[in-house]
Amino acid sequence: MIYLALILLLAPLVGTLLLLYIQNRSKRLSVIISNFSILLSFFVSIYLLFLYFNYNYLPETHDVLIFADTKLYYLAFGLYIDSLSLMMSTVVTSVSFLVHYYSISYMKNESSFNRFFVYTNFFTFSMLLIVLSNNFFQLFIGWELVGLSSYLLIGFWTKKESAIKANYKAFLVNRVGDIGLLLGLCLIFVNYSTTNYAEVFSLSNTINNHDIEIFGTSFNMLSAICLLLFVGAMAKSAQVPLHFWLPDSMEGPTPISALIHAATMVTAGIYMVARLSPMYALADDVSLFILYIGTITAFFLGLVALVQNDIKRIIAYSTISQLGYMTAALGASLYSLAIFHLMTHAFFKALLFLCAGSIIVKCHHEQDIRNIGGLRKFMPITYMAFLYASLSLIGFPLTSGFYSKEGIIDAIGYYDYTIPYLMLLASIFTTTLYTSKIFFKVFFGECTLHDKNEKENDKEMLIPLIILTAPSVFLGLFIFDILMSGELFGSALASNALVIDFYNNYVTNSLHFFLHSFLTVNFLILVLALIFGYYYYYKKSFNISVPKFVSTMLEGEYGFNNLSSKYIPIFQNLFTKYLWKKIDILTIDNGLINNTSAILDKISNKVRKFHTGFIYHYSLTIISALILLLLIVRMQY
Amino acid sequence: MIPISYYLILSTIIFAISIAGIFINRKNILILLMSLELMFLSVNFNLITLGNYLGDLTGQVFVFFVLTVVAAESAIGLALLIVLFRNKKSIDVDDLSELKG
Repeated sequence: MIYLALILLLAPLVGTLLLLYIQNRSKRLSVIISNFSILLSFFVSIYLLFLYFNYNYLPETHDVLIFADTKLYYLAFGLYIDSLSLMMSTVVTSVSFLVHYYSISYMKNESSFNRFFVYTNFFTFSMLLIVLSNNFFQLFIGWELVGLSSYLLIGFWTKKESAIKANYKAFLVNRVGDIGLLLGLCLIFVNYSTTNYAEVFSLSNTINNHDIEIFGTSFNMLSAICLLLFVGAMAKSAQVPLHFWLPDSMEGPTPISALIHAATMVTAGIYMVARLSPMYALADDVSLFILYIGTITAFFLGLVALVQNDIKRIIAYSTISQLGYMTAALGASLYSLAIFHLMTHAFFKALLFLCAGSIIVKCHHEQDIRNIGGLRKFMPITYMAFLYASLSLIGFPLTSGFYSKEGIIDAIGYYDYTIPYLMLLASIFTTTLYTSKIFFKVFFGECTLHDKNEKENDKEMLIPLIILTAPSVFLGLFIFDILMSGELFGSALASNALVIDFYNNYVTNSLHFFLHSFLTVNFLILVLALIFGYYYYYKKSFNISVPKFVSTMLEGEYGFNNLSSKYIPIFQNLFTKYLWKKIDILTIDNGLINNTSAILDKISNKVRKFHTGFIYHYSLTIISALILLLLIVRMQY
Repeated sequence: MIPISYYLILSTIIFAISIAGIFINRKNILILLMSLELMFLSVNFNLITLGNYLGDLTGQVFVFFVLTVVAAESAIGLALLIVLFRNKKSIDVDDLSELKG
């Protein structure tokens, strides 16, 4: 199994290297290499999943390469194979493959076609590195590589100024999170003196009650570690207040948005917390913090989506809001539900983005939904795919999104977290509203295409849409029961009992859950929002005037817009200017470099006076030195 | 019999003269070469004296080797002197200060 897992992990890396080697020689070759490497790793992960469940393998952790093995520390490159990592790598590789396939057509007129695939393959590899790692050290490397490749991809169009700003922003915000992650790793290393997951888990069961002093206040060690690691997850998974890089990441090509939002980047934080669930399950206070962060993100960032007009930005805010749901589930210790929503979300969000991409291509790179309309007749397949993805996103009964999202909301309600429950209920309304906003504006209304004979896009762009529709709609129904009863993840995730208890007492089975949902307040809110959206966005039968301060607040994203585009740059300018003037010019340039040469100049100017050029001076020196030497030797004896 | 210290003092005096010849002479390179020869002679003198005193023939045989080397050295020195004179039209020591820093 370990060798198969290695193939799964390394295929995209080999693809990257080959692509780097062939450069721009042939587009055909780039396509073949990039797509096949991902496809290979997809098949391998499907096969591994099949093996794992059919032959009841136990979770396996294996060190493949040992970097250092001393008394003080032990560093290795290793793989952790269990149901969680296999499910996750299947999701990553499948979405990644479809995005790759879609990109063939989407990027076909791009001059740096090959570079795109180099980055995407590398992106997939780095995500798989996180997913399959069995120690914190490797997790950190994968984490940084994901950050790097997302930086490269968001700024793929290097000549577009906004893209450069966006990738800079994404990189910096992720650095903030990385500091948290790194500090957490240091604490783990200092306390447990190992980086291996399994060892840390078993140790954290025993040593979790000693305290640590930071600035005079004492913290529980394990809580401190979990909190710091979660700061890293907050940046990667775009949680308040480190979320504001994600909407800007829309500057990259659309397939990349699909990749970042669905499979390879933002899910890393959620996955990490789920992977480390044995630690988080013990840190109750941190879990509560995570729950509130998730709920706040889900509710408030969902509201922001309502006032956006760029199709990709709306979907981006929707991603942040959905990630909020997952984080809330993590905070409520419902780890398997979080992973479940992560998986369904990966599929329907990738589908939404790929639809958005094909709409954007059709409308000649117009992204403002006020200028797009009436596409239903011209793009029937995209229309259907978008419809199903939207239904899944708003959690319409029987779709995948329904099972995962309702599961989270109802379970949080079941365990009496009142405020989060109410906020999550309210965000059903906003989710439905912004989804219907895109849907009605883009596909209905007046047609804005100039050429009335437009046809659907190439079949390379349509096939992924059709394929992705299937898991977006049916995946939830398919795995709901085995997941909720704890069979799917088993011991991979902690606190399974909570989910199983919820399943037995509240859900009983998927069909019952489906029928029951029609009687819940969730469904009522959903239907109300749909009716509201229908009349407001489609019929335009009434107008709501939002108070001015509310709309400015939402458009400014609660001040985060100003924070990131005005105040932080000012501060940064001052700080870097200070560094430049005081450190660089004064200390390094003048102090170290110029000063050294000036001192040397002075000394050598004095020393060279001794060089008179007269032979008798030299010989005098030699002989007097000789005499001196002899005298010294004489004095010794 | 003449005590050995006399010989040694004589060789020291010759050596001192030769060193003074190198230092004080500011005119002529020929004199400089001659001073060098003198220095070698004083050292040879020392070798012979001490070799005789200690009854060891090695010192006296060694003098022959030194003499050969000295002959070769002065031949090279004179050849250099001729080349120098061709280029500079002078054998004045004070003119040879091109290595001045």
